[in-house]
Amino acid sequence: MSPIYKGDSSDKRAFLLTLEARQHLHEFPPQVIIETTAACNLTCAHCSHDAMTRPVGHMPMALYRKIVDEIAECAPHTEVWPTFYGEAFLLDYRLFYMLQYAKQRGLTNLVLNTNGTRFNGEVAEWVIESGLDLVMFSLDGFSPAVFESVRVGAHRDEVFANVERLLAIKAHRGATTPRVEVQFSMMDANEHEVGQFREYWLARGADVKIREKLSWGGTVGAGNLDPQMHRIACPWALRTCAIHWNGDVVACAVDYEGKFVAGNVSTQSIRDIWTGPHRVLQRQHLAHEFAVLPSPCHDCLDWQVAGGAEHYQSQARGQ
Amino acid sequence: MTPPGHAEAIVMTAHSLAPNPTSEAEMLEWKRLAAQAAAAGRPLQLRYFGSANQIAGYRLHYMLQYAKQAGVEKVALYSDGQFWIDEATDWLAECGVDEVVLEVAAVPAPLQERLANLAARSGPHPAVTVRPTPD
Repeated sequence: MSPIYKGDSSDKRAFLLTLEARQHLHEFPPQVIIETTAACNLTCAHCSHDAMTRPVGHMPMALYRKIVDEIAECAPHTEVWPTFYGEAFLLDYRLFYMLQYAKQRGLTNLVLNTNGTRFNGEVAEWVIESGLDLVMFSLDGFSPAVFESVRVGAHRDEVFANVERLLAIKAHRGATTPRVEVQFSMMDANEHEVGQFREYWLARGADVKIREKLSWGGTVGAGNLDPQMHRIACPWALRTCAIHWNGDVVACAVDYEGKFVAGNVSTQSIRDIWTGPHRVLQRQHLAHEFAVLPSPCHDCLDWQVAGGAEHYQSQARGQ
Repeated sequence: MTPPGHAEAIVMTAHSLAPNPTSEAEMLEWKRLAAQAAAAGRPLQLRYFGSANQIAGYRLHYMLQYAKQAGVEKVALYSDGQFWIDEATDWLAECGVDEVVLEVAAVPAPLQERLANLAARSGPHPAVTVRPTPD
């Protein structure tokens, strides 16, 4: 069954129950999200970044190293995202250093998403050199009008050209990494363009990911999320360790404000926080004790889309 | 004058350490000079005099590392030391740069501490020279 659900609510419930059956406790988080910077240069229609109240900052390098060192020692195959609620490419060569460091320490699954606005030819070169495994461009539109109404502050033609340049440079160098994926978050404003988007990028050598829209913990409207849907244990709460730039480990990948702080990796280990204070949250999810969940989980509906997305693999040159 | 037996250095001054419209051309020029220096067996000098922040210095790191990986035998960084925040000690030790020349009127205490930290971390490489600011 496709995760991008188009059927009736009973089908969706069945899908979610199947998804929940795969969830269990992990001794080390399978996915770690590291906020290398909280700064962003766009004001996207489906994001609350411009309303964020916590301070914007960059993660100190010593803290970043500590996090990567622990992952390298405990679970180097962990899916690591050196980004959270910001645009990591604003860090320029600081990001290159971070990526290179993670690869040199032996991390094998390093993933970044980006709005693509800073991805000129120079950046494309160092991204390929860094060893990054996957770069995902969040695009969310095909026509300039739709793209620029969603990705507010970005220019469609420039960003598309940036992705295509990366594909061309990668092919020219014969590089196998990073895998290039373009992401389309479905919403009322853009869903009529999803077919064009998919075909365009598959023909050019980029893989395509299509996902449902998030509410970011209820901070932006998402009519696709059904408040009456049978609730399941959230895959993000059970799999994702999300770390803010100041070291706070928060509830999950949508807790951008840090409403639930389980600990701080400046003075604690990821494992101790994950199997300690954060484990309380995980057990509440697994036991369906939803009424006692803390904010931001309590009223969140994003668990409905946390389980997956549609992926299409390009057969064209460039991957 | 270049001493006998010593190849004359290729020199580049970095103007932009943060992304801007000129930075891509600057990096292309650095890569071209690195290839030229490697092919000719000549030293390569990067000169940067200016301020620093959490982001900018890492561009220097990349440029120096790139030149060493391109095969330049001797790469030197000339600077007034303004770039040298605490984090720079690590990347100076890691990037492979052979020599750091600080042209300063005086060495303030924080810079003195960073010099000591670099020496403790990486020993004699890179060599660090402190000399008066040229007229």
